[in-house]
Amino acid sequence: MKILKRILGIGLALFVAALFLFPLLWVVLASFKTKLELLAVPPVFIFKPTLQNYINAFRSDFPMQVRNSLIIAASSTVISIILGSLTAYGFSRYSIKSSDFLQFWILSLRMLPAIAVVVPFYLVFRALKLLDTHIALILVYCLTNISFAVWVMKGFFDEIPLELEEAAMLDGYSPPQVFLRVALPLARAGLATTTIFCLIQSLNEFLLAVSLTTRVAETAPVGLSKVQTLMGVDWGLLSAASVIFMIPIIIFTIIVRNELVRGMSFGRMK
Amino acid sequence: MAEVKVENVSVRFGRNLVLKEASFQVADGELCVIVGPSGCGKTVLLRTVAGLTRPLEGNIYFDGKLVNDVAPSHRDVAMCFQTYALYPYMTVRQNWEFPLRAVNLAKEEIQQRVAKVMELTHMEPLMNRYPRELSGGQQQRVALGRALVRRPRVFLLDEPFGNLDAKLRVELRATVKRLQMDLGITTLHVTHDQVEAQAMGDKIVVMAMGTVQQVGTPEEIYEQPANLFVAGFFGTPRMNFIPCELKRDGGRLFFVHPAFTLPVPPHQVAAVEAGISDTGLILGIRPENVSISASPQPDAIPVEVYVLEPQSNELIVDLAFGDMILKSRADRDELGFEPRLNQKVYARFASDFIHVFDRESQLRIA
Amino acid sequence: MARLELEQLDCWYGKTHAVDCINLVVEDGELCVLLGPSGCGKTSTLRMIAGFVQPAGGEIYLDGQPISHLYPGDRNIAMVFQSYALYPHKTVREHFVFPLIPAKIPGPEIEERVKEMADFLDMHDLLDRYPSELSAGQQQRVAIGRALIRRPRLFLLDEPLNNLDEHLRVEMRANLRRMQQDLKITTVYVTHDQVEAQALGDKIVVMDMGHIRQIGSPQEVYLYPNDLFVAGFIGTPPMNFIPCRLERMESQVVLHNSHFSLPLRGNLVARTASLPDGQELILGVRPEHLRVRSQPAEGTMPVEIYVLEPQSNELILDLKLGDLLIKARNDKREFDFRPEVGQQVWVEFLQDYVHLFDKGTEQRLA
Repeated sequence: MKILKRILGIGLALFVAALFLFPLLWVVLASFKTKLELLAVPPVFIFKPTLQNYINAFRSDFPMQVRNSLIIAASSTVISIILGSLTAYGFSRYSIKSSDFLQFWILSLRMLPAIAVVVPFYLVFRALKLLDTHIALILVYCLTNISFAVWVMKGFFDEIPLELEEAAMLDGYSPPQVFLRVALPLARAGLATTTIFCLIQSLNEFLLAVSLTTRVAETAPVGLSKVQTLMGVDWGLLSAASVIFMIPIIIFTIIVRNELVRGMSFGRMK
Repeated sequence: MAEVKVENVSVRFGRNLVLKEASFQVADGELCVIVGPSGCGKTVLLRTVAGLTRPLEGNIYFDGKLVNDVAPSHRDVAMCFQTYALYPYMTVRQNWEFPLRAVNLAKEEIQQRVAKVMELTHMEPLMNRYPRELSGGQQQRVALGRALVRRPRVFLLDEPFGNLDAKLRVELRATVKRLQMDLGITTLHVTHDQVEAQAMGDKIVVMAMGTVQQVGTPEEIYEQPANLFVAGFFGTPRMNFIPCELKRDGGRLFFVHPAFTLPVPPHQVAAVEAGISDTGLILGIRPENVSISASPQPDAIPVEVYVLEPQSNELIVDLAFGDMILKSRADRDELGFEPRLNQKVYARFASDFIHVFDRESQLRIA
Repeated sequence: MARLELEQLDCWYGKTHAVDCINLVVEDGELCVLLGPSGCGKTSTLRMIAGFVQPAGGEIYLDGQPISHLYPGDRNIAMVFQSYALYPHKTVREHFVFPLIPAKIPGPEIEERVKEMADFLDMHDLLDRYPSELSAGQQQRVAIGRALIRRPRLFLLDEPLNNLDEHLRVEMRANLRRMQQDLKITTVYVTHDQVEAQALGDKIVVMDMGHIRQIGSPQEVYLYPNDLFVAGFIGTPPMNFIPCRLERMESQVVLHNSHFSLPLRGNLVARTASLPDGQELILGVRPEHLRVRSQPAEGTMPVEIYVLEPQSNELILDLKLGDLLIKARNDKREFDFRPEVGQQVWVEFLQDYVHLFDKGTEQRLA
């Protein structure tokens, strides 16, 4: 009875995992296929892999676009984490006048639909002569990422017992030292979670990127979309580029996976 | 009204045997307190009697009838939880009427029963209030009342005073004890508080690590604890335990410790001789049975005053000898002198109140 | 080592007057307990001394120097928190080192002090453990060690024994007391537990609703409570309060109410000499100052035994005096009969220990 239940459970888990992983597997397989194999019906699963798609991808603009994406995402994430956790700490630990109102206002930035602000942003950045630069996208992504970081980090700081910080204050640590040496290490799980989400958000964003960049600062999602417009779709190239683009996020997630699991369960301490 | 019998009941959660072969009996109309530290299995035992947990083995009888397979709703038991579990959107009166409506009682009968409980719990002026408008103690009385209106055969209380402050607890335990006596409902009361257990129980079931350690009246438990655990659990400050060896000298028996040699009291000689094993023994003496004096006395141990703790009309004195601390507790009036810190004094054990335990088995010898 | 002085210290939380202009002196080396129910202002007072809360008015002096403008870390004050405030990611050793870093203590001396503290607390084997690997008692020792390692001038403790079970609490409080006396460090200790306060304090400060009700030694607050609040807060079970009126007959003074007429004897006659005829009073008498007898005698009044609560070597009796319930607490050996519920017995108030309070102002009159 118990064994049967267990087998059923494992079976169900495997089924769900397969359902989610299949498209990913499909893309990885497609990236190693030739054009003919790609379009074969029924699809072939056993074939002689080719690296031609990857070679093509590296010969195109794609490496530059990935570099742009990484620069923009990393800068915006670092800025958002620093400003966001400082702001969150302030909201969590100090009584600030009309704090609720300010917090709502910050969060509401994240609810702003991108389509509504595309045109104003375009006009603003054109006036500032920042169109098609990294800075433009970094600033725009900070807007949503900071509000997200404030919201998540405040939750984590609220969870840290005040007494832990008061004890350090009595020990002679100044408020900035208390923040760096007590609060931040204890909110590590929150930092990891926020970082991952900010990175993913910045790497995936398409609408603003496509409107504010033309060539120099073009990001990978924009580049990928353009593959489709050249004489039909080069599915092999598209797949190879997608795989390359996935790798940084996967590596980073593996590095911080322990913190991430704790972060998702919302900082249960101990 | 019912007699409850628990026979060899074991309960398993996953791989843990949380209750091991518990057996005891509660007479009709008796108030039985189940007491032990957290995790000792006392709440599981209560839930098993209620039918909320299924035993792995063993039987539970109400009035001699096996109830193992009777559903909780048909056992005619009422349970009162630590969190009170009152319905927040109902007034006190509605909270009480609710369980009676469920069994389709006549309207007059319902009113009569509610009136009776109202009188017993002194809730009359508060009948139309909602739970949030009541103090903790009042909510507790409502919860008790709701269990009582049903006139159950068995009344189960799970840490009912757990959320109340010390003063209120002292007051309510007397109220509940008297209420139970007046109604004559067989009651099982679970608590972790040994003070409450002594004050309330007609009978006490002491539990630790899933097993029943001793069953008895408060006096039996206090005066003749079955083992070291029971001896240490009841009374505050707890009993002093001193590891000793036994020595025979010229036909007389002595307790021997590096710091003292004491004759075994005559009434204990036979029991000690019969019960002793090679592993040595532990001498137990309660703080109130250790008397101190400023001058040497026969059979008194020289000690040093280590800490003084005043307590109302009493004084608790911690005494250092060797690397041990011995606690004594005495009325200030009886002390006869004012002990000072680090003063050399003499401690004497009241020979009628010396407890002897086996060091290995931890069981009482005499 | 220092003398602490609070002068007209005042604190508001929004519209709540948490601490109302209190004055207090704690002498060098003294252990002062702030005692009161939750919300009485004791913790706010402690937090003002530590520097976490800015007083709305008044000043705090440490050795004559005003300190309320200083950052907590510049006051050289150490504190043990109720939750111990240990860092889950630091070992015991790191906890001991942490407070020494901002003090810029050189490396070799840090080593020395950590070793000294580990000796003092007997924690050598535990230095590399994390808090989650320690028992509650050990965690508390770490909290004390990390507080004392800086050799502070003032030691603050906020309900440090709350998270421990009863027996460990009794043990730890004696250890704390001895340690404080050995180090002779000025200490302010906050608790809601009057038993703890009596056991630990050189001086007890009873607080209620932001006010200090009484400052005194444990014996003073127990024997001569200033008002009804202090009288009811110290001692368990709490003092019995009985409303009555003072009446002067020809030759004697009588306390009178609908249940009894009690002629005054002994020093109580002198103590009431200045009170006017017809003064409305609350008579207060502690349960341990009642004597229960099976036969009537001079100065006794008839009562019915309502509930019996055995407690270790003592017996608590709830006695019905008309519609009043009063509690008596006596050693079991003092009874010349076996008390039964429902029995008629006679109770005597030990008049030397009877307190009289003004019914209106609740202040002590005699």
